[in-house]
Amino acid sequence: MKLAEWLESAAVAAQQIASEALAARELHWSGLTRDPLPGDVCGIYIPLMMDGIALQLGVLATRDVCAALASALLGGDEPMESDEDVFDAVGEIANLIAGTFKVLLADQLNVRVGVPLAMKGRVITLGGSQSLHGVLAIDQRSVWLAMAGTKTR
Amino acid sequence: MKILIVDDSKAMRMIVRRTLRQAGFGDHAVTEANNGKEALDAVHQAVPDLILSDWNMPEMSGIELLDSLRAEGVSVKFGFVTTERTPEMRARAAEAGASFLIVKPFTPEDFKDALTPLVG
Repeated sequence: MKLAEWLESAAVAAQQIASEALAARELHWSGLTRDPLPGDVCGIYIPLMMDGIALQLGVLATRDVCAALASALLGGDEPMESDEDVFDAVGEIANLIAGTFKVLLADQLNVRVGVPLAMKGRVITLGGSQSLHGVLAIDQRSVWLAMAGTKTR
Repeated sequence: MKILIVDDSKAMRMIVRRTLRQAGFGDHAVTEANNGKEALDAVHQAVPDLILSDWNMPEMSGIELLDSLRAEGVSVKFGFVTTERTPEMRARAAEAGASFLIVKPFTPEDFKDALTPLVG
């Protein structure tokens, strides 16, 4: 599979989780976009490992949207204010997406899910590694799904 | 009954607590641990009646926790609350001695179905 196909699978998983766990009513996936990531996004990267392939799935948004996602995960009745609580909850959302991603691909591949890692600040790729992304609008809030990867020959 | 929730996400521990209440298990005493190692330490202090554990956690995973408990001869009732749901993972959980596996995201009905045979 190509990186863009991994990203599309992650988008399917993310839409399922947004609907089931965040009670989202309106979802729109932009598909792969070449527009650069905004400078003020933060969020979570979670490792997805297969034989000879290591992917990183990013779930990125502005700080305000991250807080809204965190609150939605908790049913909307728990305000999320501290960075620690917000990124903990977004990490769980990323974990849910990764778990669904794993199930979607279970017939083809054995995906192992790692522990989420919070990132805050402008996200850039390092060392020439490839990273693709697209925008998932969840109730009109933009969430960038990013996929970066390396593999062995 | 004493229930120990093990998950490295504070948000998920809150959700599990709330779901226990919604499923009708709100009158049980609930404690929390941040990972398998913390849970193992907690069990050494006082053995709960039921452990609800995530699978993927830093320090010590849920399956490592269950294996450690069974190796020590601790037969506490144990269930996973996890995104892991492939047949291989379900088989691994059952083989290690887990009574059930609840898949995230879950509903109060999922908790009722899994816990009622164990706790009534």
